[in-house]
Amino acid sequence: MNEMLKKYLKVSLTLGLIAGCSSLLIGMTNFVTKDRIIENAKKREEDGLKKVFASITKEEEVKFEEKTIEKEYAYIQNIWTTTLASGSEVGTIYKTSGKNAYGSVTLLIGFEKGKSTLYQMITLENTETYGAKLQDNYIDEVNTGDREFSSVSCGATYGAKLCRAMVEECIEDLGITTGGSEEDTGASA
Amino acid sequence: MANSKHKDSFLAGIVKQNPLFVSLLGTCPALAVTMNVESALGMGILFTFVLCCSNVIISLIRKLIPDVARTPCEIVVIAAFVTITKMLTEAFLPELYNSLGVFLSLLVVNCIVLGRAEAFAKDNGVVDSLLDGVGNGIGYTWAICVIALIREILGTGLLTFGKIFTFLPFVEIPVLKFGSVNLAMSFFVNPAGGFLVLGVVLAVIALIQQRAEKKKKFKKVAEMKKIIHEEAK
Repeated sequence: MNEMLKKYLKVSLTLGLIAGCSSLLIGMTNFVTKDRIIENAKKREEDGLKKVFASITKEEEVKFEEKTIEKEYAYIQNIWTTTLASGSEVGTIYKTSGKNAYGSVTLLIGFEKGKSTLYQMITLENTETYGAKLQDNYIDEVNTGDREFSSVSCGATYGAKLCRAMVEECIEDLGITTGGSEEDTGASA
Repeated sequence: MANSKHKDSFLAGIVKQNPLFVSLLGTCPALAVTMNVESALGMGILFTFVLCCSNVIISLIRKLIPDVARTPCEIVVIAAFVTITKMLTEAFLPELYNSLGVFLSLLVVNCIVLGRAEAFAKDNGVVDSLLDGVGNGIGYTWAICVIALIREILGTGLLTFGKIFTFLPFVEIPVLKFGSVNLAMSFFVNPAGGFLVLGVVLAVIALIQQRAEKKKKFKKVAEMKKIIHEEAK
């Protein structure tokens, strides 16, 4: 009995020691890298925000005013109102993030002012399991107008369905915030 | 004697026991991250780092680990180094981190890393284990870079540098692109193209090996004939 106890104790102590050392190393690395990771994510988000209405704003200076989110959404994380330096409003940008069994996608979805139709989707994160197929076969095609955002059979259907659900949530929210009618939200790219 | 062992530990993984081309291990990332040379090279460097670190630590603690807990201990060590590598890449090379995606995390269950720990590091000293890690890392890196080179050229018609390693100047070398004419076939950057390229490369290697063996056999037979002839005389 004592022998067995010693054996189990040795195994658990060794595993505990290795796990402890590993977590210490990971903790130290996290301490060194966390600020940089947050900075990178912020920069990616800022670059993405500039890209959403790039074709409208051209080289004019743009301001992004973040709205406070009052209700709980399934996918929407942030909402920005985009205005030109001259003061005229360009549109609304939603940051949405979703996940299913195949991976996660984070998108910036832009809606031009006065229209509740999807303007552009910018991918911030797209896990390798969705990979380039979702980007090429769905997101890019919707952006260029070759595909309706509701048409999700594209070879990356589960990812596209997730994107469609995100866009639908934004349209629903846009209908509420802008007071738009149901007919306005017949979104096409 | 010791020097020759060090040399063997280092060289084995590069050509003779190349983990990808000879042992056929690690084929999943070899197909997934070989759409361009830069991401393949990045994967190779990170893979080598993880392999070396885990080999060294497992070799260092090999006498402390009880046999029944060997595999869990090895996995904990490998997982720790993969997590550290992932964090460092996300912080300092975000483009590479995005391009490798889930395959960086999947190094935890990579059969080469666990295989080298089980087959080599647990029975050998620190220096040999480090050299084995470096050798296998280099072997895997050049193997995936060869596949990536073929796929990128045939699939895009270009060789691009500076897109993932942003500290390098951006260079685009047209290889199959002449003005408006592009001879590239996008099939090769798709998964099916990856399988085809890997298959062809393996077939070419098998052919070279077979020829070398045949040559060796002929040489041996010729030598034996010579000996018999001389004895008969």
